[in-house]
Amino acid sequence: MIEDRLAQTLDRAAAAAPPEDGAFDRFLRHRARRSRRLATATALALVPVVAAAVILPRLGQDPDRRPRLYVSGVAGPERWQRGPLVAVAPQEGFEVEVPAGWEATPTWKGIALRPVSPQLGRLLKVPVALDTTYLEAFYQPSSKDLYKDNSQLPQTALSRPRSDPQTRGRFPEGRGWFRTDGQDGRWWFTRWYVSWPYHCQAGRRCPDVLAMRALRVAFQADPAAVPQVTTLAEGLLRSARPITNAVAGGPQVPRPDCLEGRSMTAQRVAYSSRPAPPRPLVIHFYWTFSGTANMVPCTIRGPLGVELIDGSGRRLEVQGNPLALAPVGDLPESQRWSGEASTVELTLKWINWCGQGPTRLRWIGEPGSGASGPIRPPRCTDPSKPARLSVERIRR
Amino acid sequence: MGAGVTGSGREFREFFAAEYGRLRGLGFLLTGDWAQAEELAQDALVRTYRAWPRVRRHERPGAYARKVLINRHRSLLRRAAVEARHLRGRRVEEAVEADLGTDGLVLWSAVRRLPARQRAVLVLRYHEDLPEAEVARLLGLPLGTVKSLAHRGLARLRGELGSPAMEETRGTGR
Repeated sequence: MIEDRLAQTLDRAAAAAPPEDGAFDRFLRHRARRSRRLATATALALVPVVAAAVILPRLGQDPDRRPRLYVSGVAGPERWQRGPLVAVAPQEGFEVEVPAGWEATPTWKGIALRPVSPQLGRLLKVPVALDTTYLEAFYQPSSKDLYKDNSQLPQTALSRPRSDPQTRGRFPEGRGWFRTDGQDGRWWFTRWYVSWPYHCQAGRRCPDVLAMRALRVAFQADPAAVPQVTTLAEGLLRSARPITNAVAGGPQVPRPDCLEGRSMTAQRVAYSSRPAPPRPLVIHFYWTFSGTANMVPCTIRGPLGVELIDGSGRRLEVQGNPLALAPVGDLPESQRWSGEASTVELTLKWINWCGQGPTRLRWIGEPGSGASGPIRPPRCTDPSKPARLSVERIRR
Repeated sequence: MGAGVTGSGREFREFFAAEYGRLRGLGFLLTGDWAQAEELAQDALVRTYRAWPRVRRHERPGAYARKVLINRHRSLLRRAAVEARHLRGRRVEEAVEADLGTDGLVLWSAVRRLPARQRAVLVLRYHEDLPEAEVARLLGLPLGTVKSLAHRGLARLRGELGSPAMEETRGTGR
């Protein structure tokens, strides 16, 4: 019976394990690494909060003493504060006045607002949202020359509500707006946008698509509350002030760390190794990252690393082994654009291997760790000298 | 950790000693790679350790660790689908050093060539000796899908055992 033969073969294959020496010690290290990673992620998540609190009061052009609500870009519990106050979102590049009668709490990419009055509150399906998004060229008057650099809008960053009434206009101050309105059962909904282009830091390549950023107010309300909420929405869009990356040449705030799945997707890892005549082995490693639909510019903290191991997974005695890279670099301010700027390439050189047995590579870091099949080691050139692994080049 | 100090730590250490080899073996059968198998087993045990105060009261704490390992493997498979497009076969699975015999080697080669889900179903069904309903639960698949994957996997193994390609492998195996 094939089933019996299969069971027997699987049992034998699983039993052919390399020695388990030191497995528990490796477990302790593995566990410590995970704990450290968690602690580091928590600590680093606080960096933008602290930075925003320290730096922004100096950047602000408004000398008044009104209370401020800072949007840190880090998810957290709701912190409702009553207006009048000034909400500051440095990563999103806006500062806005929350009027009396409303309270606000930071969200990941902006603020949410709700009325202080419970009567009015009951007429809102959800809190009013103010955040940034990206609008298609379709909505932008200056769209005809966009995307020449092949930069892409994220699939999920915006919707095209073709069936909803769309209107355009201009506030008295000159700021142009775009708006969609509709009704879903009891609730009237409105999405109201003004252009809010993103400006990259001086000297950085800036994808065309970032000019598509927009500041958006969205609400769903009972028709009886629409006039009041519309007044609030208009006030927000008219009073919003561009700061940081919404100002050409403006001061930049520290980037938050990239979080896998939220601001970053680690797409793949690839490697190649080839003997470089006459002696060393040159290993190329490529990690590719891209931003998510949220397009949050962020720093990839890493670490990324490469380790030479033997056939049973033990580290080889090679100077410089293992190699780790941290922080890795900044993720470009977009989902992707031509030029593969989000690939990190690490080129290593391994020389003088006089050991025996199979040799392999293990890598760590997103997207997960893994190991190669057998690779051909470099030649033994001098048994009296140690083998050495070194970084030849890092290209970000 | 306190693993060598507290009663709970000692208990976990005993659990580790009892389960590590089995988990690593399961990881190897699922991935065909001892290094990945070790990562999977270590990861599963670290996660089990974090839940240990709760898990230690289970009737079979090992089943919890196995479930974690299988979940982790499923998540790696999803990533691997992307990675595989770029690595294009550069990753070479390890040779088994066990004495499987000629027939065993042929069968193992065929198992390694099975699609990941078929392989996982067969490993859990015939190595872990789990009923189909339990395999379905662990893999998050409908029972019918598990039955179909097992049926197709076995049929493919039967087919490959007699194919000319396998005759060639068998020759190399000698």
